Amino acid sequence: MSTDFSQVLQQHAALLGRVAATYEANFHMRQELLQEITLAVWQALEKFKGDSSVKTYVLRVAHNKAITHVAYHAKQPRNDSYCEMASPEPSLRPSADEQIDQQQQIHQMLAQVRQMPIQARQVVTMSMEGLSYDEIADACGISPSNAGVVLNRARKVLMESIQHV
Amino acid sequence: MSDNYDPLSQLWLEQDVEKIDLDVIKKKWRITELKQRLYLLIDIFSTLFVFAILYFMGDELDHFTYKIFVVLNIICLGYLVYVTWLRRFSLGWSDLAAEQHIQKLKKQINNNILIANLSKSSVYLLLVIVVVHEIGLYYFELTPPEKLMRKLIFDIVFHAIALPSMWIWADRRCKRFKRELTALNELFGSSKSV
Repeated sequence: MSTDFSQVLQQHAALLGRVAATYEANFHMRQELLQEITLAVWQALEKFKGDSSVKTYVLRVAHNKAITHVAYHAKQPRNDSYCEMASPEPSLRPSADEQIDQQQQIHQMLAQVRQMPIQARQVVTMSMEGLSYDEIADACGISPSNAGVVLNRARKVLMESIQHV
Repeated sequence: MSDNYDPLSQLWLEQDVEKIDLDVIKKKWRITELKQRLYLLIDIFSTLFVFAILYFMGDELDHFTYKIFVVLNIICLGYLVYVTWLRRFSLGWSDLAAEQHIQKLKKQINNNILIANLSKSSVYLLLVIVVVHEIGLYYFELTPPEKLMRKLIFDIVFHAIALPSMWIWADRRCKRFKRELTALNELFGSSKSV
């Protein structure tokens, strides 16, 4: 594995973890998906032509791999499991109560994201990763105006879900 | 659209994520690479095997068996080319837009179903070829009766195990790909709105 690719993967490790979490609730399945996504991104980086930002390219490849994974595992039973996760740095942690509230909100948001149709899931998570309308539209193969409509609806649902926690 | 003050984005980026173990990825890649090379070798050798029989043992074969092998060779070569063409979308990754990727994925799963059905059909074809060969050997009196009987027993035992196994394997793959396609259609044909 080339050093550059390893660096790119390390830089986008958290992002890839969040893509995996968007599609898989079960810890072991999520780990498997994360490995599949990382491998796909690594292979794809060799062909990267610079038509978009590395982040957009990585997200596009990662979501495509996740779609393939979902199609393959869709009929298998699964359950929610949030154990064995890497925790943020202690200095960045809020107080215990705030942390519990935040974790509940994240839990609720993720559950809501996973219930969304795939396109809405992609649009809203790419937006939360900081991609523009045009970048999202390009990655999803839809028009920017369509991306905007889907995003606004999805954000409304997510805002409601975290406010109810 | 997504500045630092967006509460949703902030919350999203705060979530805990699993760490990537690059050593595991490297190991997985080496295994994948090895598997790909192995599949390629199997495809090449399975075709070359029949060619090799014709080339090296052609003089020892009777004219009827020789013709059967030529037919088998043509079928194998055609099968290899067709299956390779059907597998053209099965890359390990895709950087297409999501909509295009889904269409390509559906096309590849459909092709996989076709390959599985082709494998099932090839079992029947192989059975026909074996039967025709045995009948030909008997009819043209190309093999002494004792030797023909031994060959017949061996062929029956071998094909009674090999052919059903091949059919069951292909049938399972066919059912699996159909499940995948149904799941994909359900996921992307979903009318559920946000």
